[in-house]
Amino acid sequence: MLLKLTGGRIFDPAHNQNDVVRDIYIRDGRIVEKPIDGRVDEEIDVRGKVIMAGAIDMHTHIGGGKVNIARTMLPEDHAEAIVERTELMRSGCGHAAPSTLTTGYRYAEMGYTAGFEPAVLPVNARQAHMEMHDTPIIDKGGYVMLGSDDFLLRMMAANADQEAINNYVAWTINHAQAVGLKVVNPGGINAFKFNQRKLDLDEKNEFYGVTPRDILHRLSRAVKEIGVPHPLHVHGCNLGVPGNMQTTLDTIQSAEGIPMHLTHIQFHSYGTEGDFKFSSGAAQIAEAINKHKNITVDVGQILFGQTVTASGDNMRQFAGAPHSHPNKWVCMDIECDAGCGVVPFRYKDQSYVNALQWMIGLETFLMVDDPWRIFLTTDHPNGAPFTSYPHLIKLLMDKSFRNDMLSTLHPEAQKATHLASLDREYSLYEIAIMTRAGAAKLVGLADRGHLGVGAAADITIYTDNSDREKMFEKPDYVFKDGQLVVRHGQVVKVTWGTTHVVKPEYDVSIEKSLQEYFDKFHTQKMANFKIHNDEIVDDGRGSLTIQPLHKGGKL
Amino acid sequence: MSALTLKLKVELQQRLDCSPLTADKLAGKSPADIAAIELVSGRLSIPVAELFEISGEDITDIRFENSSAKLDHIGHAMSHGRITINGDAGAYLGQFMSGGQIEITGNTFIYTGCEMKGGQIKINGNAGDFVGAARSGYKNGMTGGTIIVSGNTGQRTGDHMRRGMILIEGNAGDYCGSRMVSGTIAVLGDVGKHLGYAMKRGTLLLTKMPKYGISANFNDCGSHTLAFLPLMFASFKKLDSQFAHIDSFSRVQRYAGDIGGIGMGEILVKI
Repeated sequence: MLLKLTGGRIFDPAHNQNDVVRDIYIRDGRIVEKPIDGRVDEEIDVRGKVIMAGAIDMHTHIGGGKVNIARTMLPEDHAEAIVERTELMRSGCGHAAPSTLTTGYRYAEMGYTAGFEPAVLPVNARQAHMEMHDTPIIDKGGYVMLGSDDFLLRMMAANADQEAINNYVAWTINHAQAVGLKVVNPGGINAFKFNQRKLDLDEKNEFYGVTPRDILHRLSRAVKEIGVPHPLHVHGCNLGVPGNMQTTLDTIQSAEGIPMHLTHIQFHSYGTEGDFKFSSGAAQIAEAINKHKNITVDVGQILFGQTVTASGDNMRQFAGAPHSHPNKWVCMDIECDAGCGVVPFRYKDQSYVNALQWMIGLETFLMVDDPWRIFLTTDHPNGAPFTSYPHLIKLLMDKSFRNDMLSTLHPEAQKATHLASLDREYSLYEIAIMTRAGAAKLVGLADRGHLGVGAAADITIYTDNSDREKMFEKPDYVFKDGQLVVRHGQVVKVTWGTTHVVKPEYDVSIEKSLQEYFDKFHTQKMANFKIHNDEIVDDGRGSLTIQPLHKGGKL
Repeated sequence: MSALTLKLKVELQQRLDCSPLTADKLAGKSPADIAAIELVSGRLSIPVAELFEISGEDITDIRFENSSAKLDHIGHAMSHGRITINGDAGAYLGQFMSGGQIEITGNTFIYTGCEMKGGQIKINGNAGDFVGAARSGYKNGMTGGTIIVSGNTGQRTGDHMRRGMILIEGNAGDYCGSRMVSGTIAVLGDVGKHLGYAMKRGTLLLTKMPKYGISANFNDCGSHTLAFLPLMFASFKKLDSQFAHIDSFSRVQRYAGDIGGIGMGEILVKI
């Protein structure tokens, strides 16, 4: 079966194709060369339409314990957003913390074909994978979280050599079936258990005597040396604290040229100027990002309305708990491996702080020059549910719309920003970089995010519309692995995506000390901790895609 | 105009969602329209006419005859009008109602008056668990209105209750007034175990000492003469209830709690 998409306007940044009219041929789920005899089985006329690869959300909380806690804690989020079953789709519910099924359908309807869960706790990885396994259509993968686990901190306190840490990291990525490594409030989740309520970059964990800077250094080196393509995914110290901009600048310095991805940077870009002692640090942060080519960021834009914040950072979530809306929250330890905090939140446009957060996010988008190193996220659901992406794209692409929105916000906050003077408008090509080619490159997906021959046929086709929100919320066609899954913004076929993983090598000798550690301290046996490949494949609905490693080795 | 009367004529296999049958939702509908409304029962949708014999047309005065405990959601979110039920009603009677009156001759089951905002429910039989409570996971139960129960209530009466009154002429089950945020519950009969468990604010008024005593989480604040009690009893005079005929009193023993939380609730026991 050969399908031809005729005459579309191709936006494929991975091949430097900016609005190039060409045909695409699809066979067996892949993009292929034009057949020699020119024969095609089916042809779709897409002349004049905008064609991009399927979008990739490289940071979205769609699985794992904390999402389930949010679901359990917020029945109102479900009761007010009930989705009935259809002949094709199963029922579901939820706005900020949608059910797994609804998550998959909604992503596909917006032209997304992959989403990556950024906080998979090793001990909870099975749960995360089972939820993602139940998320239809899109591809998925997880970044496994280390940095506050006692095994690593013990090794660091004992000054173990980098080789041992590399082995531990590679072992964990393998057996948690992850595609990358994440660190959340490095060491802070652990320090919280020793009654520390804040932890700066150079502050020692009282028990282990280890600083966040050490942890970042060790882990980012490990990721680089074992050849995992996705750089260390860092949720830094002091999230949400006024003045944390300095911590973030120090963190960028501390990377010392090693690749590092700073996630939801908006929450880490706050100054302390002005009457409210809260100001934008976006300009300084953007300047530092522009200068340090090893740094990538995603924004974590906030948008106004009700959502829920779900994070592994129980230290900062505990501090944020008094602001919960509705007034209920959870902070908990997860089997001494890490932590978790879930705080429902309503961002208000007439709140000075929330309005400024909105502006800081947009300032960051507009002041970071290289779209290959900044990614479009709302840190779903922490800044806003992912369903608001089309609105966010419009804010980026339409200056007058942005300024109209800006003028309705808290008046003091408007005075505290230069946002209105920023003229930049993202082009379709830049959006394609941010949400497709760049994201695929960052996560390390060799066969996604581009439209070259050999790529998986994850393709989204839009009708060009100057109202970018309308354009991006309802693609004409979405193909997932060559199958038409969405037509005119409606799911027409339900498929099941693959799980992307990497398999870095490690020395099995690490299992000797791990075995001892599991037997002595853990709630499960080491053999049970390991997630086998066939668990992901399950009944054949799931599948594993092992992405290639970079060339690793000592720095 | 005579009351819109719905007489159940079938033996229901599954529970029936009666939420479309309120004055608000029937406004502007002819008897033929009403007969054609589809009600959800289990996995089926069944027209009203197949379930009920319909007579009368006054939608502000709805009568359920031959009612059964399988009829759920009667009076859902109603804001005005009157519903009279001969027989039992199922779960969620008067959920979200903001005005009007419901009277039932028989018993009601779980979540009677769940999150109601106003109006009055009079139950001549017994009520189930969670009278005037919040749905599971929600923060506020009933926020206004009055529920009168001539019989007994089940467990967790007034769970998360925020405002309004629950008047029980019989006995209340275990955990009466649990997690109450505010409002008033008065009981003429006995109360079960764990009275006022995790209560924040609000008043539990009893005419006799609880059979299982007062929990250790309540402080005995001594005896008081409270002037508001006779005023409150006077306000009951207009109710169709034993509470209208209660001998007014103002001397009570006061217990404050639950001191496991903010401890601003009170249990008042007549002395």
